[in-house]
Amino acid sequence: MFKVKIDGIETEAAPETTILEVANRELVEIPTLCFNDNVEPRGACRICTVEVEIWGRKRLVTACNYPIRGDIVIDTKSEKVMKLRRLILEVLLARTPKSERIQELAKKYGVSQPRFTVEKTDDKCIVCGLCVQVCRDIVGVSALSLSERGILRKPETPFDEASSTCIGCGSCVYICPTDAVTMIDKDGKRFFPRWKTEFKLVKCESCDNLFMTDAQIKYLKKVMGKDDPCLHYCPNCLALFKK
Amino acid sequence: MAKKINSWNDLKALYKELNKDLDPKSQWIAICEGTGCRVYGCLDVSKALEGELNKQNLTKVKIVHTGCHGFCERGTLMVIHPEGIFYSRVKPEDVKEIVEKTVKNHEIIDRLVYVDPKTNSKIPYAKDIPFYKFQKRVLLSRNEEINPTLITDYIAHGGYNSLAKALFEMAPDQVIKEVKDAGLRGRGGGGFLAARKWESSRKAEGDVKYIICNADEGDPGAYMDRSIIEGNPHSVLEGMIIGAYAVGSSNGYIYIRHEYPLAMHHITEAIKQAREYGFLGENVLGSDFSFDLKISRGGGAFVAGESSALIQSIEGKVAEPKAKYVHMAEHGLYSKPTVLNNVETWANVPLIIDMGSKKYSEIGTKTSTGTKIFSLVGKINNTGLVEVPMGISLRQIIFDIGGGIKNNKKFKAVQTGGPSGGVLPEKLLDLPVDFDRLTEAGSMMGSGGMIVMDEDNCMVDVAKYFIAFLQEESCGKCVPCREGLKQMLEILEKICSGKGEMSDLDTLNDLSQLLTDGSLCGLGNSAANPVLSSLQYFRDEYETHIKDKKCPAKVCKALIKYRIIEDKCTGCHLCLKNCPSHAITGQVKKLHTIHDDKCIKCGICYDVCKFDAVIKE
Ligand SMILES: Cc1cc2nc3c(=O)[nH]c(=O)nc-3n(C[C@H](O)[C@H](O)[C@H](O)COP(=O)(O)O)c2cc1C
Ligand code: SF4
Ligand code: SF4
Ligand code: SF4
Ligand code: SF4
Ligand code: FES
Repeated sequence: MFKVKIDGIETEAAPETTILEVANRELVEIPTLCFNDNVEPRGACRICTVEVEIWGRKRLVTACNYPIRGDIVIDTKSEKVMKLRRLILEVLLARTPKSERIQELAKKYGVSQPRFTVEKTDDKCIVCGLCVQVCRDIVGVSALSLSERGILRKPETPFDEASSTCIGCGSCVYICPTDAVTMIDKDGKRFFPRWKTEFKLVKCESCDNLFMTDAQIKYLKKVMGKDDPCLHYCPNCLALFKK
Repeated sequence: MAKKINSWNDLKALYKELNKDLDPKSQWIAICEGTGCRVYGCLDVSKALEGELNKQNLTKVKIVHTGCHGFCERGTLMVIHPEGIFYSRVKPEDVKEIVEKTVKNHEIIDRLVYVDPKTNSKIPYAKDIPFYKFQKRVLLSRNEEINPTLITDYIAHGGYNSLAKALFEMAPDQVIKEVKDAGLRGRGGGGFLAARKWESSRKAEGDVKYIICNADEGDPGAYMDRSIIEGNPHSVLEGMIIGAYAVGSSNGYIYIRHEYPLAMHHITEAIKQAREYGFLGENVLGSDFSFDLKISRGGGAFVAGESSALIQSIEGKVAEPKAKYVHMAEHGLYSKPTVLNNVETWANVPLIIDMGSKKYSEIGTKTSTGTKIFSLVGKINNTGLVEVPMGISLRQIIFDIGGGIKNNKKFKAVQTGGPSGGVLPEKLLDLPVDFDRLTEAGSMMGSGGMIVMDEDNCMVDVAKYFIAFLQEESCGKCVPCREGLKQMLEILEKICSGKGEMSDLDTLNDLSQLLTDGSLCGLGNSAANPVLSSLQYFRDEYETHIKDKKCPAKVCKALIKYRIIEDKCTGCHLCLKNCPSHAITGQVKKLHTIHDDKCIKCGICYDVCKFDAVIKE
């Protein structure tokens, strides 16, 4: 166990615990954007940066993926940290002015009007990569990837066309920190405007509610290697049956 | 098929055998066949020379087809030994005369002799040419003497003896200690102590460990690593094998840029021959140490040279930098302990073992030992690859070796360290070239780019150029680098087009802080250097752009005007005929006029006017 002091609170941490884990445990708030418990932290948005002192040296590190490997003093709100977060939010606000999440964070950190040309766009994507990660590492179909580089980098389906591997599960929608991916269920169909895909929704054999896409059922059948009641009935009905 | 060398004695015997007929008075001719000289048609010169020597029955005169000699702008280069007569810009047509006069009669051909642009004197011997005289070519000197495709050439010059010495006389820890005492620092950018990385990796747990050579060399205009691999590939292999022995690794990779076909060819051939001779493979030189390596081709992105991105690329993933909170020495390639060093770093290793750390560390300064190869380019008389002892001043490199500024213009700045290095002004010309001193001054050693600028360079424009390059090469993973560089570039463009405001300078400072403190990898962390250093040393140029809406160097198009002066215009019509946008009017033999509303500021009229009647203001 290592000695940890975070914003004045003295505690301990097992080797390899991340700073964010300690902060969450001690109820110290650190903002995050590209972090999600279910996938490996990429450390891309940098908003979780904190200042640490370890082995006699001060440095800035990202809390979401910094593993504690020695006694450490953490300052999550140092002057340097606050300035950096403000700058990150300022450039993000210029990039995704319509994102409520960014607006909200910016306001919290006292950033109102960016000094830069603000993009005239409704796109709320901050290119965090979470949608790509969840689709690849959790869903397991890799329908998305980050294409291009630099300022042009963006999550995309191959060739920006409807992906043949996407199953329309919507995991990307749930994980997106800025609501940049949307899913519309309408007329027995499910649309993902961002991915240019469309799926047929299937009815629960008991309650008639639309509950899954046909592609999802097909994929799950393949993965499970057999048919299963969960591919015929919606979770609600399944729960009722179990009772 | 070559005989496998099974002991140090075998190697010594081969060395003797290869040198037995060596006569120091014998004649031989080195022709540079590096990538640079190939552009000038050196292969045709070689062929012509071979033919001529055959025809004249001078087959005793050996031709050595070498790698790059560094003075690429003067290709094709030819050095005639034993005298060391240096001919440049040699064409196939010159060969007959060279054989007739120089080879047969030891006569020097004036026309092919190098003329010093500073003194206008003719200098026939390579050793006297300032470009070479002030260098310390401990790594590059072999390039001028050996054929890189023949392992026997390398062995005949004492090659692989350091490996044998390490294997049979030194324990791995001793090798590490020697490299540590030598003070060897990484030549690829960061300047980390090589031995420290080796030590951590040696201590790290794991049965499989990797050794990697970074030959990605993405800095535009830099080609030190290419030259070493092309001209002396075995020195890199020998360094890596010694490193592997020290660390306890049996597998290695050379990650090489795919745009380097000749280097690729030479290293592939070198690996093949090293295997045949028993320097690679099972039981190296009959010892119980085994090591082999593979080539991995880099895709060409600048960021792929960054250590964590490079590792991902070798693993077959997208070359994208990753957090380095856990060191590569413990979790590197395939999560195994890994040592990554640059080409030039590896090439220094055999030298250290051969010279001993004490003698090696006498070259250079206390904290930056040995030599460094720079790619010297820009507004300078002699451009090329130069190897200098660390601690030499920028002034010596630029004025002694580089021969000073071209066309008697005034020196303005030197940019060191590649695209994310800094620009240093005249008052820092006496700064010793040393890892720490360059960093203190707001620039860096980087991998060895050195661009000299004169009074005609606009420092805001220069900063804009490098930021544009970096924003193009940013991988786009992290917010500070991806968004910060874009905003930075926009502001610089604004200033260059005369729309800047003084508050933009504060914003540039803030964005610099965002990049430096916030970015994930070295690209973003160092990307602000061009802006910060130019703001530090050339702030007045920014202010003139902003306040006076003028570009002092007359580079920024939006801030200059072309005008024809009455006194000088003869009405020759030349500008009018050449203007691509019909912006000039005037009748023959009468004063011509430029119409600003139509002028696109291409500068053609300025260049074509024979009477200097067109001015920029
Ligand atoms: C954007 C970027 C590009 C780099 N490109 C190279 C390269 O082309 N060659 C190289 O040797 N090192 C390059 N480096 C440095 C490597 O990350 C690494 O530090 C180096 O290869 C380690 O070797 P050394 O200690 O021998 O210098 C680059 C670093 C960054 C941040
Ligand atoms: S909806 Fe498609 S793209 Fe999104 S996570 Fe599911 S499979 Fe991947
Ligand atoms: S769409 Fe959402 S999850 Fe995907 S990269 Fe953009 S912000 Fe991240
Ligand atoms: S600093 Fe730039 S190059 Fe490095 S990870 Fe971030 S975006 Fe990519
Ligand atoms: S600068 Fe170019 S466009 Fe302008 S007047 Fe001269 S030639 Fe014509
Ligand atoms: S949440 Fe840590 S870098 Fe994005």
